[in-house]
Amino acid sequence: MSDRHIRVLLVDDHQLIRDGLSGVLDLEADMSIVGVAATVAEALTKYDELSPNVIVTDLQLQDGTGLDVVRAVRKKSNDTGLIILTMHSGDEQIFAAMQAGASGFVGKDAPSSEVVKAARHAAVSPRSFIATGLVGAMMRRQSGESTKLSDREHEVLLLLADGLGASQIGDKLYLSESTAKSHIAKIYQKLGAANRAQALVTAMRIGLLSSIKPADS
Amino acid sequence: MTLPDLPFARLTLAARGFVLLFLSIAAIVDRKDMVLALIAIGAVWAVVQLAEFRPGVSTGFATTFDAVVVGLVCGVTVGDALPVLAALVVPPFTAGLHRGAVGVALAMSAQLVALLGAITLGSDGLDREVWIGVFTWSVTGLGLGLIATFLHSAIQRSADPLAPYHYAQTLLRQLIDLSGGLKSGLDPTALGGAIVSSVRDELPVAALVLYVPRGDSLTPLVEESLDGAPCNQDDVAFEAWARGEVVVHERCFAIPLDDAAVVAGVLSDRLDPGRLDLAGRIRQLQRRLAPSAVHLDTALLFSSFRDAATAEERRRLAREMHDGVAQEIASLGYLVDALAAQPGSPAQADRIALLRDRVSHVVGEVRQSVLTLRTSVGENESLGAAISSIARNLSEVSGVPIQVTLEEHTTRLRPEVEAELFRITQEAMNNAIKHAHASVIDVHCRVHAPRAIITVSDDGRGMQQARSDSHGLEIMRERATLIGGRLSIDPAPGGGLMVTVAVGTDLEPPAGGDRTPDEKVKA
Repeated sequence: MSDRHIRVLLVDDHQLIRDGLSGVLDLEADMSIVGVAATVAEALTKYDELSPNVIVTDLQLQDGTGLDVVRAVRKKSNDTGLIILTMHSGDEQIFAAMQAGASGFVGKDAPSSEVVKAARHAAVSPRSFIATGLVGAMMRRQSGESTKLSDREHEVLLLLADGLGASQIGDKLYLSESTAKSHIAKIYQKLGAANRAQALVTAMRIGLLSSIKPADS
Repeated sequence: MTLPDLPFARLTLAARGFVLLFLSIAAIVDRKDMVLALIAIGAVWAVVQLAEFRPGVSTGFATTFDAVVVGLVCGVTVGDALPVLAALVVPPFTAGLHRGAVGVALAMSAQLVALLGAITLGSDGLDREVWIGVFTWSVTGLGLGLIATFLHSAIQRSADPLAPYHYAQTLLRQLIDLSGGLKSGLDPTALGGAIVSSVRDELPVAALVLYVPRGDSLTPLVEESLDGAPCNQDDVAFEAWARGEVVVHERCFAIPLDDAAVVAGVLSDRLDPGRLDLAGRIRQLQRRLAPSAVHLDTALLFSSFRDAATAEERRRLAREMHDGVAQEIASLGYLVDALAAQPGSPAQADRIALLRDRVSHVVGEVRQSVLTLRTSVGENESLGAAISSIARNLSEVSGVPIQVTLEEHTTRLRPEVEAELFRITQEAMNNAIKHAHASVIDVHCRVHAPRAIITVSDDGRGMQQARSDSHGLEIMRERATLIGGRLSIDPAPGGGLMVTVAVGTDLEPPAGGDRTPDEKVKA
């Protein structure tokens, strides 16, 4: 970190990826590949030997995952840049990388300039996280598209808020009690609630309900 | 003839040893002078036996030689010692073992000729007793020879190296014949329908459901409600299944059919259950339906076998694509990046940039296929959960928001129905993103086993002439037919397309969708 030259350790179990990527990263004036590794164990040994500024690691390795590398290195050092390079760039992987302490996340479909950019960022500020898909992933997590209640479930939720029990709800909506119960279970599941009170509070907070009558059961 | 001869040789050894023992005991007890005969027969048998243990020696010659010698010895000594005739049973037996019926015939005739020849030449006027002895032991020999012939063919057959193949061929042919007429042969729904209609013929019912086991619970396969009576016999059916016996509660009844299925129903209220011999009729019905239950069980096994094979194959494909071709194309991309770093001319730089774009696109496509291949309903807790998860993935990759609304009952559909519905929904969502350029996709999934209806609507370009995904639509329709469902493709209210797939129910779109019936397709 003293000079601006970035020394990179590349971890991937695919020979072709290692060759291709190290070839193109070596072309950058401020960057050089100091070592390559194919497994988690090898990566950690090389890290101790070479003490690189930045590690670029694949997610799926034969003896573990890139997150294992990230966690192990992060325990020892806060100054090493850690970049996850993967074929699976789903929201879950992005969040997992962020939580493990990575500095960046790049998909294998992105051009190597993205890797270069992420490596430069990671060398400077290893403890902040960048990823192209991050904003979208955050928005999707917030909105929770797939947890939208169905019309029927919304009706049940309103009656729940009125303090009715499963059998009363069933009577009101001409459903059997077991059907009403399964609707209630689905509502709890979609709202991430463990009981009626939690479900109603969450529903209030996200604007599904405007008022709650006190429950009498 | 070398390999399968070993068991024969052991059998012949046993037979000869036993007869020699018998003859020795007879000689001692009767104190007849037959030592010479015993030695002669023993010596010949020892030689023949040794020859049999050695591969490559002609058994035809050995067995005939055996028969002639035994015939001669018996013919010569029979006047003094009658028990020696017992040796006559051995040559037909050994010949039968080695050469089948032909060997028996040859040995019998050679032995009889030698025996009779020796008797006529060697002595003058034998008594009745001897003739009876010759007759008895020859017939016994013939009988043993025939048994040996049977053994010969049985052992020969099992030793045939092609036998397992022939057996497998027969089984596979039967399987193909059965599944060829899939509608009636191995289609669970059709077989279930047959069971339901035979129950209906026998009992005055208002409603009937046929359940099949799925994990620890039951899932309805066929449902029939004649008078629109409420069909809520789940508990009765479960009780009958768990206890393995007929359960009757007032008008509700449930009949377990082996472990394969439970048929439950409500009796019509127009009839007094006390007046008809319900218990007797149900017992009779249960007996009559036993074969149908086996048919149904086979069909269910077959479909789960097929599903397992397909799922495994999909996982293998996904793994192979992910670890192989996807990584290799990605590495190509890095090579292109290296080229782009030192372009020869601006025109070349443009072309390299275009190439890089294409490579990135292909990697994205392959990744999408891997995702599609990897996700299956099996590992999710319900069909809706699986659809939500793939919708989330698709929306992450494509950036098109997908809204999923679920209305699911806890009872699940049969696995193969879930799998097909899942693939249809997935294909519909894929089409909306790839071909229709939709900006928002709405998925509505309503499941009430055995009925289900799923709608995928988008706001894209709608149905245009010769859309590039017409092949995809064809596949979706085929999948729907496979599970006895129907697929309809209609213009959506927002201007895009609405794909509806329904199983066990009419194509009635869920609330919120106005449908024009123009393009309704019944597959």
